[in-house]
Amino acid sequence: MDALFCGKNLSLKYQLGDVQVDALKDLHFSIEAGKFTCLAGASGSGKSTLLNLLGLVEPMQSGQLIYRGRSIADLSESEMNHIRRFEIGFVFQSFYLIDVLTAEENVEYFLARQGRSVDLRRQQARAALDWVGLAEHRSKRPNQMSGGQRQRVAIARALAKEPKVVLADEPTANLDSKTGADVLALLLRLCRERGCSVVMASHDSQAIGLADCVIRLRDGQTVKES
Amino acid sequence: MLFTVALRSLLRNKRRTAVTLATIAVGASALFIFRGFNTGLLNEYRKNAVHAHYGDGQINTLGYRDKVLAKPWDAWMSEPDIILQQLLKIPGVEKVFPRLEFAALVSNGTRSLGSRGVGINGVAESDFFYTINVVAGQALRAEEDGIVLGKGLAHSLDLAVGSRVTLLTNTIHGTLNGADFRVVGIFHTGSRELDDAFFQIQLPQAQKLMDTEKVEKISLGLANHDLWPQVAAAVQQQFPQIEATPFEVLDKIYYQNSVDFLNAQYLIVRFIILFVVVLGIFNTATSAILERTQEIGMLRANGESKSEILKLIALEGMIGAFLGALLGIIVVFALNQTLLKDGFYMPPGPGITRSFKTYIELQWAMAGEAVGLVLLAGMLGSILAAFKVIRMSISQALRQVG
Repeated sequence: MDALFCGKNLSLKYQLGDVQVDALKDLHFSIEAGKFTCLAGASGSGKSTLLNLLGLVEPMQSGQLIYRGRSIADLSESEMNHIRRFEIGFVFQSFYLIDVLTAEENVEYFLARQGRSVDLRRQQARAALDWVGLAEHRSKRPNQMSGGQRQRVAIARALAKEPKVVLADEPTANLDSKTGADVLALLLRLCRERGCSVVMASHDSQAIGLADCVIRLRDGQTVKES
Repeated sequence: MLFTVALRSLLRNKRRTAVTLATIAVGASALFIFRGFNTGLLNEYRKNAVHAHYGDGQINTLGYRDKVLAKPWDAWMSEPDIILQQLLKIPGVEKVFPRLEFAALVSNGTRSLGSRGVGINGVAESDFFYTINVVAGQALRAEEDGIVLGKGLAHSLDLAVGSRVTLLTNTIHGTLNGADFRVVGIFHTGSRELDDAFFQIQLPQAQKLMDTEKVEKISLGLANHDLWPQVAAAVQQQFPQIEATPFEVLDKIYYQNSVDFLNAQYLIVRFIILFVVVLGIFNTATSAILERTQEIGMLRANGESKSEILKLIALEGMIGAFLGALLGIIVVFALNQTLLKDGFYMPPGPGITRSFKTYIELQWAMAGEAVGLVLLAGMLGSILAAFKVIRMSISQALRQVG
């Protein structure tokens, strides 16, 4: 199986007030395409930082990160934008939907930015919402929906882009256990039915149990890859 | 979609949007009304200058105005009737006023004052030159021996309507000549240069005093002053030895300098208004954008470039600016149709000694200019406000607490 991501000697530091935090220390890992991978670890272990690096939203500092055979360090700003726009879907802990748009428009927005025609993107947005079970809620705005529904819109938004990989950062953290389980099931379906790679940062044991592959982190270092 | 997001973003915080729109509306209406006021003022200045003395312009023999001639009459126009007939055939030329200006002593029998007189066609000029404000008697019409004096000149010589005066002058041949006249009117143009030393008599009388049949210049009355360039070109083409000069040049000291002064003032006021609008938009846009830092991070995480985010924010600023400007323009139009409908009196302008009525003259082009400038301010204010968030890394923006 091809490696989707491959990290070698990845390190990242950031300043928190007067303290310098080693968020990632000399990290080595490999993530295979088409799998459901879980970045597991306690709060502050570096899993979200790593996910941000994978999503090209955190600037690289040292080490090497390879995405589908290309070193991230060699990518120009516009190449990174292109990858983020066409190949990566994000699902965030806090959903980050555009609150002035309806559920359907939230999904449609990035399809429009990909240059898809009005008819096509509308059809695909509706199909994505239907897939996450929100066909009847497509005209609602985020503030008219529950947390679980909003997260499902976020998943629909990510999957409609037809990305190579969906990166999910603690997608169940703000949800109750039943809703969280539904969201996890959706992400798993996304991976199984659509062959989309999913990389999820989570400390939820249920999520870890479902994953094909788990990268455990502690204090910014890999503890175990299974 | 970009437009939808930009438009709906205005409704995120209605109170803040209302404040922003009000700021923009005030800015746009200030720009618009000030421009309209300036135009109204300049039109009054123009009307005053054209219809007081100069007409829309005048023609002389080539180079006459630029030289100091020992014998100016050598450069006066012979056979004026032929020229007048040709001039009236030029499209746009409605009136022609042959004139002869000369130096003379005006005497009341006991005192004499040096002054400048002009021979005119009284009947023809009395209708066109209506801003010669006659304060006593009447304008010069058909009275053969009539004379109309400037207010200052009449005052200096203790002359009133009905008084007899004697004009003494040298003919073009150098001999002394004189004639008696009866004061039929006293005028007040508002320009001291004219009011203190100027008089008008009939053109044939002036020609008799100067012993010539020539005329010094011909003032023109056009259907519309904007036609002047075409008229001047036609004059140039038909009479290569004659030059046409617009009133703006003839009245440079008062009219053109006033225009330049008011335009310079408008530029400064415009800059101040735009600065205030940019600051207003910057202030509200900064809070609005900071609140949306995470959303902007999400957009960038999904592939939007920095310039695309700036475009979205600038579009929001411009939509707000457009709506605010529209509001301002409507308010100004409404005010101009109601409270300002009858115009208002202005104190005397530069070189003018009487107050005059002016109107706010609004044109669509001015509204377009005000909207355009405010759109620019909206775009600038929003982009400046966005810089802080745009400079953040995507992860920083996503971590930002709204």
